[in-house]
Amino acid sequence: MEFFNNLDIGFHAALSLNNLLFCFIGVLVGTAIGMLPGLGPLATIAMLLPLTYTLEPVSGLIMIAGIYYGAQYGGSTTAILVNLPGESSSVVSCLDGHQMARRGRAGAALAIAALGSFFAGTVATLLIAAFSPVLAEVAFLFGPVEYFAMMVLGLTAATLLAHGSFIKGVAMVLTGLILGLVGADVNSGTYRFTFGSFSLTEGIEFVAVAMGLFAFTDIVANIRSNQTREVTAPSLRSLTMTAKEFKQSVFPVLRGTAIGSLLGLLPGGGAMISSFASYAVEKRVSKKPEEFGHGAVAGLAGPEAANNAGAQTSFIPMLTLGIPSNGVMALMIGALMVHNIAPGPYVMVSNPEIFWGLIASMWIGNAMLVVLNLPLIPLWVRLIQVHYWVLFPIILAVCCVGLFSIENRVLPIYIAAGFTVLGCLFWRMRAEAAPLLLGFILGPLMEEHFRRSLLLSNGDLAIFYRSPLSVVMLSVAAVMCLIIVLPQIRQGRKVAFEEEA
Amino acid sequence: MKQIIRALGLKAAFVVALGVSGGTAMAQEYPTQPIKFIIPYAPGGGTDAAAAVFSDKLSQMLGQPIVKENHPGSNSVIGTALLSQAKPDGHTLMVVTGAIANNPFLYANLPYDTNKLVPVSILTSYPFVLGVRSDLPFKDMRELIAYAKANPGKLTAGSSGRGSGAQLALGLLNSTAGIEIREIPFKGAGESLNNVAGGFVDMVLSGYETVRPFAEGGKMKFFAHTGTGEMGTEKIPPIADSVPGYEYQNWLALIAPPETPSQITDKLNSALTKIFAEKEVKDRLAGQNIQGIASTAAEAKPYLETEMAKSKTIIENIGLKPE
Repeated sequence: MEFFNNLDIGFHAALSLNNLLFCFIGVLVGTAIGMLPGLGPLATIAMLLPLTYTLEPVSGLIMIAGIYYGAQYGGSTTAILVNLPGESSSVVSCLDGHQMARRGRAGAALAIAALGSFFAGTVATLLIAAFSPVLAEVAFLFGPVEYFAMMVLGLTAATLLAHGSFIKGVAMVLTGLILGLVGADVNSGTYRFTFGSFSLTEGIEFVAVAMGLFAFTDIVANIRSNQTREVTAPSLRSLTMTAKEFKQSVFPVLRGTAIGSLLGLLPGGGAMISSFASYAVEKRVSKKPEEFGHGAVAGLAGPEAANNAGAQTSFIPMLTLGIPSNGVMALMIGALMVHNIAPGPYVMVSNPEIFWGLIASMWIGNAMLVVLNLPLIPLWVRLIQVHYWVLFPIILAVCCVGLFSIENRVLPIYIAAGFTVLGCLFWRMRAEAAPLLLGFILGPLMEEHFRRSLLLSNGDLAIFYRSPLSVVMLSVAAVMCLIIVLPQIRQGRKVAFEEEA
Repeated sequence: MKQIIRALGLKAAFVVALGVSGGTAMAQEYPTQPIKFIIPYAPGGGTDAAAAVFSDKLSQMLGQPIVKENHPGSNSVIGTALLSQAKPDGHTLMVVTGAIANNPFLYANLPYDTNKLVPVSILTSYPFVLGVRSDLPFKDMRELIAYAKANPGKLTAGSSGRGSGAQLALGLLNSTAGIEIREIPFKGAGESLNNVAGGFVDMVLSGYETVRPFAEGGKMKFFAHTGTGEMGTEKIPPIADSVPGYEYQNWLALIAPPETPSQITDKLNSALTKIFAEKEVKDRLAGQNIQGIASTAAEAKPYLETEMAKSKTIIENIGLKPE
């Protein structure tokens, strides 16, 4: 009964005209940027973050969420039509989706992608609605000690499970930690790394860091790369799929949904890993693996469902525990903190309209996406042809206005410029910037809770193993380090040898 | 309205009679352009809400729009620094909390001189409420003090960090009652309230409106408040009943840049007095147990000075030094 009550609160919030509008804007913008290669949801959300400051928190979150899962849809459309993955998560969709399009089944491929995604989105939304309250029960069990343990677990997981070099991941997290220390220390009120300037006492502006590292760096990286793109709009004879295609896609969609829902929960997981995992699974269980790569329906339907389910369930750790599983979720936590809502299990109790409103909006947004994606495809194709020299100056100008408006001063713009340089450096070094952002956000929180725990216990470290929850989380973090670090060292050696040879 | 016109007429006549030029012509026409309200806190905070209570009405009376600008940072220092550099023509004003009286004793190099600022009006004042988690073995303030005396350093209270009102009110309670309740700093009142509700911290001093939901939900109990007399429908007793002489009030003030002429502050004062006398405004404030004051500029100056002296003593007692 409570389940329906909660959904009622949620739909009540999400169906208000205002929130429907922001949901629509979110999925529309999301679809658009999902189609534009290079411009990802992380960059877009970083740009729109200042805008959400003046909105109701729930409207802001609904819009951000819409951008995130909208981008998954948009990414698949370009992948299928022009073999250009707009999003990293739709790389897999190129493999079989584009092959289907080449054989004249573009319409069917798009329909499978959209409907598969919609199904996965619906299931994942229900999962979030059903399981989050269970996690919320622990809301009041979380004090400083438990939060500290959770941050340790979150940071460890984010570092270890992130793709790319392990050492670089650690280095990025540590850099983020140090940058996060700038400003007044909550426990003692002492100023750290402010160099006597009052403008740094509140710390480095989080939005400026995110915009510099993601949005602006993306732009620079794109300008450097080749800008000519060939767009051959395929014929869209019909959007209906044949009975055979439908039958072929049913089980892959179900499996993809399950895989995506599960992997989305993991820190560092989400849409991309889910789609790759699903493709691998489909190829393995298929009776005709040789069809994969030549337009196999299963190779499109599974990953499409998986990336959408993964995108949705990655909200669970963020909403219930305040742990961001990827960069976008980290930005959402930032958006919550601006509204003075401390992310964590408590949000569900203290702001049910935000929590359930967001969940209800996800389902509405998914339905909107199906409508948006199928009839509007010719329009989207034209968007891909917009030149960067038109697009980028607009984006830059809008971003700078946004940065200025945060605190009505120009400093954040300079900070963003500085972080752009840093971001480009990281990009050249092939170091992922997302762990830096996680360190930047979680690091200071971790320190704050650690010192607060010790204040409460009068300096007795035993407080950390008196709480069973904290013991479990710290042990999991330790075990994860052991499991992953050991093979990493071996692998690292192997790679080094290979490079020599 | 008639009153204002008459008051202005008198004032103008007075000014002309004195033969003061310069600022006079300007003051007569004031305001000639939109008025900017600096809010030295992040958007969406309590000060934003408080300013909203009177800023619309004030702009109607003065016939110019009022634009709010949030300049958060450093316990209001960043916003105040901006105000101190603004033209003293009444078109830039600041709505600020009692923090402005604490800052000279918390920061070694303030980029402005608090004594030179022109307080236009003390707008409102309100006490903190002491919310105590419900599962502690005492049920009123007297028993709490007795428990704290028997177990020094055992009880904990959440605050909103260095120099915050909650920290000062707690420091004053410790020194006046001769007890030791340990301060646990948090980033804001919301977080410390959650920790009291969760049972990790024992009590919190916070605004009435913020404690009320927890008290209604049974997670916390209203023990006392930091003002005088019984408070609100719950008849919350003052701490002074158990700890004679204890009082701590938060307040909100409208401040103008240094050297703002009194003609301008007078004009603002008369408008504010009218606004705060309106029944709607009174009811709205009373519902939140906030007292509307709307003092004149002449009253606001000594008020600020007294508050600064009080803050200095409390801050020194806590052992905080300007940094």
